Amino acid sequence: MNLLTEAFIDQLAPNAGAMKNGRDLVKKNSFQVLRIAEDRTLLFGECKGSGKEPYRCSVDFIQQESPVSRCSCPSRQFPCKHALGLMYAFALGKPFEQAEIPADIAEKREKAEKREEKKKAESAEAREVAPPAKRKVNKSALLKKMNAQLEGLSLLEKLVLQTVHHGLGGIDKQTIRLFEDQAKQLGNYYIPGAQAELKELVLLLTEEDNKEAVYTRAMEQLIRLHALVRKGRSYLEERLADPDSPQDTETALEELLGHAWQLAELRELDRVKRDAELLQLSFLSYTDKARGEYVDAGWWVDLHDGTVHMTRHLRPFRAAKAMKEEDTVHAVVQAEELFIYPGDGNARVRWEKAKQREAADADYSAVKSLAADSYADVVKAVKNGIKNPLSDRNPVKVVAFTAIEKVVDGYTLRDSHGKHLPIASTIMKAPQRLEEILPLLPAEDLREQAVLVMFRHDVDTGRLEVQPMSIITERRLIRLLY
Amino acid sequence: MSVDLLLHLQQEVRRLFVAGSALAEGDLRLSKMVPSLRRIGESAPVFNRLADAAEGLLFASQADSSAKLLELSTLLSAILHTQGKTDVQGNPQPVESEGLQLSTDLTYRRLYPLLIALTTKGQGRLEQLRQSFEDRSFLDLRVVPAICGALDDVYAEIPDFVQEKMIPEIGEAAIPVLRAGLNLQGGKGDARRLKLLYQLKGDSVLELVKQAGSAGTTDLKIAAIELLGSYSDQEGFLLEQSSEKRREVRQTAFYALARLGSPKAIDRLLEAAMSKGGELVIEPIQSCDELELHRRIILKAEQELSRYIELEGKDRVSAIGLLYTYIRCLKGRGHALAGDALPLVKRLLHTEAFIVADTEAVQEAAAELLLELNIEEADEFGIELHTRYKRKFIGYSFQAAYRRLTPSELYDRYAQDLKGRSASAKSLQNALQSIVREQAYQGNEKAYVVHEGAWDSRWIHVFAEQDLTELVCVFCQEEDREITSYLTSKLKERARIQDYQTLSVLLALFRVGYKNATELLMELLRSQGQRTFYHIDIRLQSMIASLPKSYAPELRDIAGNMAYESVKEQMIELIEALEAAPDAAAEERGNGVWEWIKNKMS
Repeated sequence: MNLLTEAFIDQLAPNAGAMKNGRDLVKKNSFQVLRIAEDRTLLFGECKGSGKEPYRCSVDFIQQESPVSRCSCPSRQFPCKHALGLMYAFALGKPFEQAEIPADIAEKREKAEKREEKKKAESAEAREVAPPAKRKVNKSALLKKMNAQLEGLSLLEKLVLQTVHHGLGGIDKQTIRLFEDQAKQLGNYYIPGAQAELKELVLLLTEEDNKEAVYTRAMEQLIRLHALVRKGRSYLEERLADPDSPQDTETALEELLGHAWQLAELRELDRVKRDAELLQLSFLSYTDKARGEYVDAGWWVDLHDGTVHMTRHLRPFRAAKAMKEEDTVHAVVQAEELFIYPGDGNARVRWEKAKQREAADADYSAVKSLAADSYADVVKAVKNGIKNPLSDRNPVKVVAFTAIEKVVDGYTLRDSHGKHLPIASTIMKAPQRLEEILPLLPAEDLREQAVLVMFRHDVDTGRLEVQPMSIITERRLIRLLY
Repeated sequence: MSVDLLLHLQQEVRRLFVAGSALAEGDLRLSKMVPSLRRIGESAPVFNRLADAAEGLLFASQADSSAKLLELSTLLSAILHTQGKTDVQGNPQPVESEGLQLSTDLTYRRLYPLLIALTTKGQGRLEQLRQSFEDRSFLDLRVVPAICGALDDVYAEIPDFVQEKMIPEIGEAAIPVLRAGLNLQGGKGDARRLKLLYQLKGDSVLELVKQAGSAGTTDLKIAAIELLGSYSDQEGFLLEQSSEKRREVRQTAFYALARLGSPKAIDRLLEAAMSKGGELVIEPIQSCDELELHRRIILKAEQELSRYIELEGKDRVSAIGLLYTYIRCLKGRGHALAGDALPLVKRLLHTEAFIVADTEAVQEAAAELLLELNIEEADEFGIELHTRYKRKFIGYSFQAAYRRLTPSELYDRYAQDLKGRSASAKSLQNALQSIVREQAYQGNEKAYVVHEGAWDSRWIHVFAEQDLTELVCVFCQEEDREITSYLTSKLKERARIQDYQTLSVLLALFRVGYKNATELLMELLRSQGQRTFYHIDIRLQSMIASLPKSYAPELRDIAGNMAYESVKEQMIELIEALEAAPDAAAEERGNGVWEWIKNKMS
């Protein structure tokens, strides 16, 4: 708890509002009682609320990295602003009075300890007896589901073919309404991924301005939908014929159809990496209208092999209020088990238990040394990936550069072989403008460094461009996004 | 070559997507492309596949056409995605780096709201800026361009805050961004940029400032003149600008000249005051520290007064206008100029021929100046004006007398004039009220009562008699049966919880310790505490806080029925403070709670 810094508390907060509210409580002197346990593992206190009784809150640091907060307020956010305020008060050096641990918390601690012990005993027992049993799958239900999925894909195909038949130029409000209905109907066929892709097309078509650009994008989306139908159908038919065959883990097809991978499944499929060390290179939060959710996306580099992974925390609109908003992470994350989702390109990852340590110069140097230094190779790999209509259209890579240079219409990266990668600044939208920030940087950061970039193939101009997201030098990370 | 062919094919495919594949059968433009595809196909087999797919589409039936078009486009799109160009145009040049050492460590959840506040419109933005300023999170490289961009914001408080607080704190790091953004032909935002550049870099941007002064747009010109006002070698430029066509520029130049205070500057200001648009130069002259200028203006005023007396018609009107300008030029400098200005004011107000309707405004200005002189001789002259000209100047006379006479002398001299509805009674009341306002309502700690011992105790009865309730309330220092009965009768007439006067009366009753005061307050809360109660006046808060503890349960009942949530919360806080207070002597407790509340609000 001695390491309780404001930055750490910020990280615990579910959203920016909670951070502010917590700090305000300290500023307004709303804490009437501030106490600390003798062994410095527990903060507790009383905070004035709107009611007659003050809220009694506490933060338990018996497990340093994951403090447990408790509060008598009815908030559904965890930690609530009172618990956050309690921690901020400590971090800001307010006087805490030493006191006995209250009985109710001691009791809760005991219970938690017992639970933990029981769990350990169980898992030890389980390990002794046998390897964990494979999860059972209800075969007839699975067959029924796959049949429904096939039916859904046929429906989608019909819609796609019809659209192509009549042409994009003839789409009016009525057709769009029809599409919306169809998209809703697709919800009955267990293919939410495909449904979302269709919704994306609908959203594209409802865009008012710049019809010409919309046509190109709509065309690409129709190609993608068509490919999804074909690949999805042949995959499902294959599995129908042989229900015991394993799920596809080479590509992201299952996820594209709408399967939500569970950690247990990933473990079964052996898509787990032990003791991985990851450094977040960039972060972005955006709204995915088609899927109806906020996405907190993080791009992480595996410090051992230089792979760039992605984390995606999804917050559906309906539940967004009660969910934690993710944020930029500066520390190195040490994940006990790193779960890697099926897919090509920047595979999505997740972890359950992780420790953090401060990022050191050695980490930045490691990332730099792992950066790809030949653009010819990188571009080849990227092109090979994006030619598949179902692949991630915007792969992200760490590349080395000898210089960032200015050209007539913007900037460009140059590698040690003199090859260029043109820079675009509109691949990801952000209020800060790349072209304004780049020239402000010190000269040494614009030479002989590495950079995290996102690729985009512009169908209209036939150009392959990159948007720098972060520059990595030996001593620091310059985040151009977040 | 072959890439161009592919792009061409892409155009055709896109056209068919827009038009619909139903029209693709035998499409001329597409069929013309097949031979070229075949030709290249001899060496690159993938083009043969494209040609096959294109033919498949050309000969497909209507029903099949869409599948065939998709087939062709999928293949084409895959090929094109392997052909993305990464070449650059022209000769790449090194970036001219500004070398800022600011970090980029601010996390998304703190950076994003700040950037949004700086780059979009909407409410709550200033609050966000203040917060970021307070926790210093705005010192991030990614924010600097947005902060400098916010100088152009139309909601003036944002650029004000950015200019006064944030950019000075960023300091030198903002210079390159400001410099790059500065447009001498721009508007207010660019004027702010110029000022900031000068503030951050000082004399080294003097050339730029001069350039803005000579060739910039109005906004920039004004900014430049303001900045150049402190350079004596810019006198010529400022003199030149003081005859500029545009009013705003002229006025700024006048201010700058007034600051300069050189002999030539004074000549020019005087000249401007004498000319037609003298109005514009009044405030700059008031701001000038060289009193020589004001003395010369007094001389001019004496001359105009003589002209007024001698002349008639048009000339007379112009003399009045000039006099009016001159006298207002002296405002704010009265005390320092007392010796020079008194003879002028005396002469003005002693000249019977001058006290006519046409010169009303000049008379008022002169009388105000008289009060401002604030020396004994001037005030004596003021007191003398008491009954002159049908008591026209009684208000000014009273204010002068308040400074010089004892309370009882003041009362004896003026009390009778307060009665009635005549114009002089009204102006006396106004003068009285303006003195009272200063004593009772100004300053951080509003007292709502006049200074003790500053007034004769008989006044309050005159006020009660004249039904000047507000004055009675602020003069109410101790319990007096007659006065309390007047005040309670006022409450009976009209008592509204949101009414200013009602609260004044109650507060006066509380102050003098009237025994039924608490009950009157409770009565009011009981009857009106529910519906129309949308704001707890600070005076009401203080009264509730001084209630005896025994009222707490009933207050809770009342609070329970309140319609407005915020008022209810405030009320509950008050009650809680009341309940929490120790059972000390009644008065002490009341104060204790009140102190606590003030503490909480600050």
